Amino acid sequence: MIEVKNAVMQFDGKNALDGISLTIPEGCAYGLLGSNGAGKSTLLRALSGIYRLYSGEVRIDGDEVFDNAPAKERVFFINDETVQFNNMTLTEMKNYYKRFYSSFSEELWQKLYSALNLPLKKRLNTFSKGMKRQAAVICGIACRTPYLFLDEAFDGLDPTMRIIVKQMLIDAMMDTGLTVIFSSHNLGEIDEFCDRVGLLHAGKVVFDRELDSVKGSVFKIQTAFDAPVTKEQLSGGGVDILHMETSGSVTHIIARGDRDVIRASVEKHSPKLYDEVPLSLEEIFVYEMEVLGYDSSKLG
Amino acid sequence: MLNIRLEGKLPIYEQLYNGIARLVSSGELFPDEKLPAVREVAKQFGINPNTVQKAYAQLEQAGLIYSIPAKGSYVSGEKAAAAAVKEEAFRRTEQELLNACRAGVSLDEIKSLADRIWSEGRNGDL
Repeated sequence: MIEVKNAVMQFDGKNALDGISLTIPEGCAYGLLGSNGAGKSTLLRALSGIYRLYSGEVRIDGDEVFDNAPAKERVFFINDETVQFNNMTLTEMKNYYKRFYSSFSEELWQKLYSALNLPLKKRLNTFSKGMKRQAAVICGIACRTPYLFLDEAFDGLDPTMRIIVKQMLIDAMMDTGLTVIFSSHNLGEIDEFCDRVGLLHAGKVVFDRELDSVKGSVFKIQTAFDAPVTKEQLSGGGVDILHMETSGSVTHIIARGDRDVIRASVEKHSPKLYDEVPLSLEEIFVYEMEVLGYDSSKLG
Repeated sequence: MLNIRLEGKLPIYEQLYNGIARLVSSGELFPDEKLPAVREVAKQFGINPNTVQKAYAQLEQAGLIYSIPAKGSYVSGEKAAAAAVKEEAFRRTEQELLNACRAGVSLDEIKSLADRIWSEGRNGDL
C-alpha cells in the first residue's frame, strides 16, 4: 500500500506539492491526472525516493522511501530521463538494473525483449525516443518490483507498442499483484486501464476516487423548460451545476452529483424533456478544470 | 476472443457486461460454453483485469454465467439464461417507457403499439 500524508515539496520557495494526502491500495492501477505543472511528476519522484519531502511523509508498505534502500527496491520509476544510460548498450542497461534489483528476472527480461525489436549492442543515445521508452519499460517490468510508476510513459509509444506494454502490465498484475501508477495526458488510455484516478491541480488533490464513481458523477443533461430556470434554482442539496446554456428551447446542463438527486432537482421545474448522458473522462477533466479557473475558453 | 466492441461512455465493466449479455441472448455463446479467462479478455481489450472480474461477477449474479472454481466461467444453461435475458429486456423496456412518458407519449399510444407488436409477433411477422 502507498500512503502519502500531507506531503509538501518546495522548489524556490514555491510549493510544488501543497499538502497532498493519498492512499493507493495494492494491486490497483492508478491514473494520475492534472494539467502541466500540477505536481504529478514531483509526486512520483517523491514516491520513488528521489526527493526528500519538505514536510509530510510518503510510505510504501509502511516504510518511508527516502534514503531507504530496501523500500526503494520495491519501486521502479519509468520516466522521460534515460540520459544516464546514453553511453550504455541495452545489455549494459539491463545488467545495471540486475545488480540493483535482487528480484530482477533474466528469463522475464528475455521474454519481454523478444516481443520487441531493439538492438542489444547499440548505445542508447542512438535510440529514438520511443525505443528508449521501450527499453525502460522492459527493464522496469523485469525488475518485478511490487510497485511500478510510469511518468507519461505511454505517451511516446505507438498504438501497437501501447497494446504490447499493456499486455505486459496485465500479466504482471495477474502474476504478482503489481500496483501501477500512470501519469498521462491521454485520458482515453487511463479510462480504459485504471481502477482509480486522482486529479491534481496546483500541488493539491482535487479528487481521488474509483474511476467508475468519477464517471458516474458528472452528467450532461438535455432538457427544456416552459419558464426560464437559473443555475441557482437547480444547485444545492448535493448538486453542483458546472455549466449551463440555453439555445432556443433546449437547455444543456453539466451537473455533478447523484444521478437521482440531479434528476429530482431538474424535475421540480417540470421539464418537457429530460435526457441524460454520462460524460467521458476527458470531458469531466475539462469541466472540473474549468471550475478551477483553468479554462480553454479564455483563449477564445 | 469475444466478438464485442468496447466503445461509448458507459463504464468499461458495463460495456463488457452488455456485450457478453448480448452474445448469450443472441445464441452466439452456447449454454455451457467456456468464456475466455479474465487475463485473455483483459489482454484482448487492453483493459484492467479487475474490470473484467467485475463484469464477470455481475454476469454471474444476474444468472447469465456460472463459474467453477479453478476452472473458469461458463455460459448458463438455456433456462437460466433465458430468464436472465427476459429480466434484462424488462428492465430496458421500463427505462424506455419512462423516457416515452416524460417525452409526452400517451398511455393509449403505448398500449396500441404494444398490441400491434404482440399480434405481429404472434403471427411470426417479426
